[in-house]
Parts: sequence; C-alpha cells; structure tokens
Amino acid sequence: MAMYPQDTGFEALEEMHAAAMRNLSPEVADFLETGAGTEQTLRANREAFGRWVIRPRPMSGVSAPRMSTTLLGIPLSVPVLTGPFGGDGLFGAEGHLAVARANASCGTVSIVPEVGTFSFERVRAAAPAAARIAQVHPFESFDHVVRRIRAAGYDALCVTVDCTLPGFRVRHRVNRFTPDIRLFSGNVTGDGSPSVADLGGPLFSEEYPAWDWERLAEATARHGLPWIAKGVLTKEAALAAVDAGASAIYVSSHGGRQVDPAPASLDALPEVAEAVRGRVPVMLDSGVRTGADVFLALALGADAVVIGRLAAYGLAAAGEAGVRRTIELLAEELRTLMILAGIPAVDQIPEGTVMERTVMNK
Amino acid sequence: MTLFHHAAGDGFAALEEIHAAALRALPAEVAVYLESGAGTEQTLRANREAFGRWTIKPKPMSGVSAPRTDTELLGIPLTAPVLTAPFGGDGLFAADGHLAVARANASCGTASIVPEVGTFSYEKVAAAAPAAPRIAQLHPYRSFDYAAKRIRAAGYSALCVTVDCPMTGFRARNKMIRFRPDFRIWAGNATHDGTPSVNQMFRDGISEQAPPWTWEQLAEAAARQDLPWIAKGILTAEAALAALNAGASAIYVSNHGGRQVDPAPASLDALPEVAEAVGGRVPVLLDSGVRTGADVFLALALGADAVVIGRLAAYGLAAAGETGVRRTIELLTEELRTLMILAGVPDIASITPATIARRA
Repeated sequence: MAMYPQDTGFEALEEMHAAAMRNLSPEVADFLETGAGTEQTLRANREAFGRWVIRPRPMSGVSAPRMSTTLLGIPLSVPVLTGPFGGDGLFGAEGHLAVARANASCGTVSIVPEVGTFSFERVRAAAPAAARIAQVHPFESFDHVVRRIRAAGYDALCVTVDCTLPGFRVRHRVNRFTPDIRLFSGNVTGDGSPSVADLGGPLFSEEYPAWDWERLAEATARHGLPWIAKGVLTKEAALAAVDAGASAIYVSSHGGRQVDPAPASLDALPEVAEAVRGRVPVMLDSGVRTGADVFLALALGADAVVIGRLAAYGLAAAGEAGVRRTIELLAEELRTLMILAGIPAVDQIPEGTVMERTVMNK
Repeated sequence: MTLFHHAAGDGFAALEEIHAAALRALPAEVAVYLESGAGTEQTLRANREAFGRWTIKPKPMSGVSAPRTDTELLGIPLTAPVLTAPFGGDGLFAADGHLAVARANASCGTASIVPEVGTFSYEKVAAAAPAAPRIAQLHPYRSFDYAAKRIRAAGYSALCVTVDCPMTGFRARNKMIRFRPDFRIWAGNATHDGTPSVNQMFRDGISEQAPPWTWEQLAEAAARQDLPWIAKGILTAEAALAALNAGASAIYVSNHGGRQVDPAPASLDALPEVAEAVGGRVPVLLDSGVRTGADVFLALALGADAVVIGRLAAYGLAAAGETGVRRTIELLTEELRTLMILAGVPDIASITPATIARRA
C-alpha cells in the first residue's frame, strides 16, 4: 500500500487529490485538470472563493446544525450533488456506478451524464436511491433520450445549455489525447437513434441547427419532467431559462472548460440568484474544493452545490470509497463552519453572514 | 554599550531567530501542529497580510526619548501592553510549558492568560509565578462553574472565556500529519474525579445532548462568579455588542490564530469595527498575526489596549523555555519602544489612529 490509505483513511481532500494524481496517467490527469483557452476561467473559479470571509457568530448555541435539504423534492443529507462528468471510466473502472453507490450511502444524489461510460439504466440500477437526475443535451436525440430517462425512473432532467460544442481546450489539443470513445458512449444504443455521444464535436450541423430556448421549452414541455438549466452565468440567461420553464437554475462555467475568459461561477451567483428571486432553486458548480466553498456558495444564494472534479478525484483515488469520503469530508467541514458561524440549517444562512474581505479591511 | 546591542544570556537578537530556533527544536509534527491553521489557511495568511497594509507615520525631532510602555488591563499592571495567550498543549513545546511562560511574564512584568486545556493546572501555574498568572481561560461549557470556582480559589483576578471554540476548527494540515499526541498534555485541569471537564467536550464533541452555550447562559454563569471576564474570539461588531450585553469586562478580538473559521476576517481587519462598536466602554485586546513590535504598535493604533501573543510565546518556549519567552517579550518591547520614539509617541495611550496611515 502506498503512503496514503486507499479507503476512508483520507484525512483531507488535498490527500484525495494527490492520490488521484498519482493513480491517473498523465494524459488523463491533464484531461481532468485542464480548462479552455488560457485557463483564466479555471483559475478565476478558485480565486472567487478567496474573496469572501465568513463573519462568525459565536455563542449561538448551535450544536447540531441541520445539513439536510431537498432539491426538486429530492431529499439530500447535505446540499451536495455529483456532476454529470462524462468519460467517467477514465477515472475508475466503475465510473458513475461507483459515484452513484457512494451517493446512495451518503444520502446524496448523482446527476448521471449522457456521455458517461454507463447507460442511464445501468447507473440507475446500481443505486436507484442516488441516480435521480439525468443529464441530457439539447440536441436532435433529446426526445429519444428523455423517454429512456423517464422509463428508467429518474425524477428530473439536467439540460446542459452551455455546451453546444466543446470549448477551445488548448491543453487537450496540445496533448493530442484521444480517449477511447467507448468511455463516453454508455448511452449509445446502436439502434439507429441519434446520439450526442456519436458526435465528439458540435451538437449542430446545417441539417440539425443548434437549439434556442424556444425549442428547448417546447421539447421539455413534451415530457413533463422538471428540468434544471445547467450552465447559466448571467441574469439574462437565468431569466431566459426560467421563461423556458426551467425548474432550477444551475450556475456553472463547466469547470472552466467552455468559455474562457468567462465569469467565475461564484462571481456570477449573486447576479443569478437575484434575478431568480427564489422562484426556483439555484445550484452551482465550478471551483468548489472545500466545505468552506460549499458554505460560501450557499451563503451567496445557492441551494445546493455540485462537485465535478472533486468527485472525479475521489473516484480516481479510491473508487466508491473515495467519492464517499469526499462527500463526508465536505460535510464535516461544512458542519464545523455552521456550528462556528451559528447557522442552524443549510437553508437558513442569514443575510450578512459572508462579506468580501476587501470590505472588511477598508 | 556597543553600537549594536546584543543581549547577554540567550543571545537571540531578533524574533526571527527565536522562530527559527523553535522550528529546529520541535519535532516536525509538533511544528505543523503549531504553525498550521484551519481549512486552506486563508485566515492564517490574512492575519499576517493585514498588518502589511498599514504604515507608522514617523515624527522626527519630536523630542520623545523615554516613552512609557507601561499600561494596565482590568486593574492588572503591565510593563508593556503584551500578554501571553492561553494556548493549550504547552508541554509539547517545552517540558515546563506554562510554568515557564508565567515565570517569564513575572520577570518581564507582563501577564499570562493561563489555559484550561494546558499541561499544568491553574493552581500549579499560579504557584509557579503568582505575580504573572492573573487571568485564567475557560470554556463556556458545563464545566464552567466548577472551573471558575477553582480559578477564583487559586487567586486569579479575571476570567478569559473562549467564545469561538465550541469545537475544534477543521484543521486540514493538522489532520494530514495524523499527529496523535498524548492527551494528558492537554489535561492539566482534568481532575478525573467525576467533575465535568472541558476535555470531555473536545473528546466527545458537542451535541444536542451536550450543547455549547449561548450568550444568555454565559451571562448568567459569569454573573455567579463575580470575576471580571474577557470575551475571547470576537470578530464582528455584532459579537462584541452581544458580549458587552452579556456583561463582558473586555473584548478580545481573535480568530484563534486562524485555527477556527477559515475563511474568517483577519483579526486586525476586524479590530476597527469592534473597537468602534465597543466605543471605549471596555478594553479591547487582540491576537492572531502579531509577530513584531511594529505589529503591537499598529494594533494599539487601531484600537487595541493590549495584544496577546500565542505562537510567539510558544516559539520562545520551544526555543529556550522561560528565557526564550522572556526574550520574546523583551524584543517586542524594545521594538515598540524604538517605534514610539521615532513616531514621537510618549506613552501607550498616545498610540492613536493619527499615528498610522494606510499604505497606498
């Protein structure tokens, strides 16, 4: 055994990351770590969290803060979900099967990817309690895919609106990394149905133009499942998504892998949360690496956060156990901060709990 | 005296040397335990960076040649506005821990805040140097009344109630070294006779069955003891006002050396807000990030009446025991005195906001 334990012995998320980097081949590690362009968005996603402080509320008497919540009627033991990252078999042979099992044992939820290694049906079968939300792209295959998602028993859709084509990912290009496409093809049925996983490029062509909000509104209305708009970074996009019937707004810069330079997710959150005004829940990903980050995102208007790379690190470090430990460590730090900040429940973080450090030191 | 003054005895010419000697003397895991903070250590770094945003305005030809560094806090005389903090586990840094710290304070004319989770009991530290250990720290927990009665009986003049630590912060770096020291190093005040002990709180954790206290509970409990008490761990105006409302006799601005909430406001950043809220009604203390005599000056200028040194005292202890702590206080005082002369400040009360400016 290596210097670091492979199971629940991870004491901090930094150790999980280090173990993942040791276990992954350099080109897979780079595929995971990289962003688009010159990676300004990737860096900004992290830096944004560094601009905020928590104003502690001592002697609050809070000893057992409630960390559980619900999202679109789905109970969560902590406001954390795993993101629909594709190619999951690159990080652990069991991929999203392991992620879903980890979520099931933590009381959290997977957003299961369309371009994952395993089909929606298989992930759902692996952990029905956790595989509750399925991701889908607004593309020709939408109706076909959504019918399958529905039949498999999922409660909600997560529509990725920011990825009509992969971002200009320079580091990928330079590495000339061409992963086995089968790791992205879990949902390719081979029955002649169109599939986004067949493309590996733009989700549009002259024959099949890129969708707009109207088309998405019509398509989602046909299925009667609540849907999350994933990849919103402005109030305009948030309002368009709400108008199109979205049941939740998911603030994301795709982990810095699409538009570069784009607003950092956390920087975009207050604007989006204000536009949404509590009409629907708000989620956030991109840059979350600690329980403190979860706290800050919740304080700034998110109802839940989604972990993409963090979950992939856990998967690469120790499979299901690694993902489980990742969620445990996030929850442990969040709980500590809630007690020290006097927050009785994750959905009761009072206004003024966080402040920009530069305001504090004026 | 030569052109460059070198002290006899321990020979440390600067606090940097004491820090370096401490890190040489300590086992690697103890050094990490001492140096690390919570989370990603943003608070730890911010504590230091905050001091870097201020300058002292020199006042040449002011005629000040013999500034007075003495002051008093809650009726306790201090030769310099410096106290040592109630850091626990002191036996990790030197065998005689807070006994040595108290002796050093006694010889400097400063004061110890003696910890509840230290290696030695309140009584032992008081006996080691009765002049210095005037303040005893305790936690607002069910052990409070019992601890406070012992503190009183041991002759302390004030309590220091740590309000920011109902549980240990999420100290990632410390977790990663898997440091599992002998718990007895923290148990100097655990009697093992069935009386409640704060060590229980840290061992078993707080829960709904054993909840941490509220300000109301603390106000009632402190009122029963009839000793002035300092509220340690205040970072906001709201918390300062709550503490005053609960009857605190002093407000102690601290983020626990970056070891509790991360990211939290830097102590020095929080000081003006807290000092303004307190409005001179009670004294204000500060710790977290103080590493030099210049830092002492800046903290006083921004509203503190005295500063408290935690890691600095532990460095002194690790570097050279009692002598190391004494030398630490001497060097802080010497630098403070130098700056008071150069800034034309005759006494501690004259270190006002007008003596400093933000760096552009």
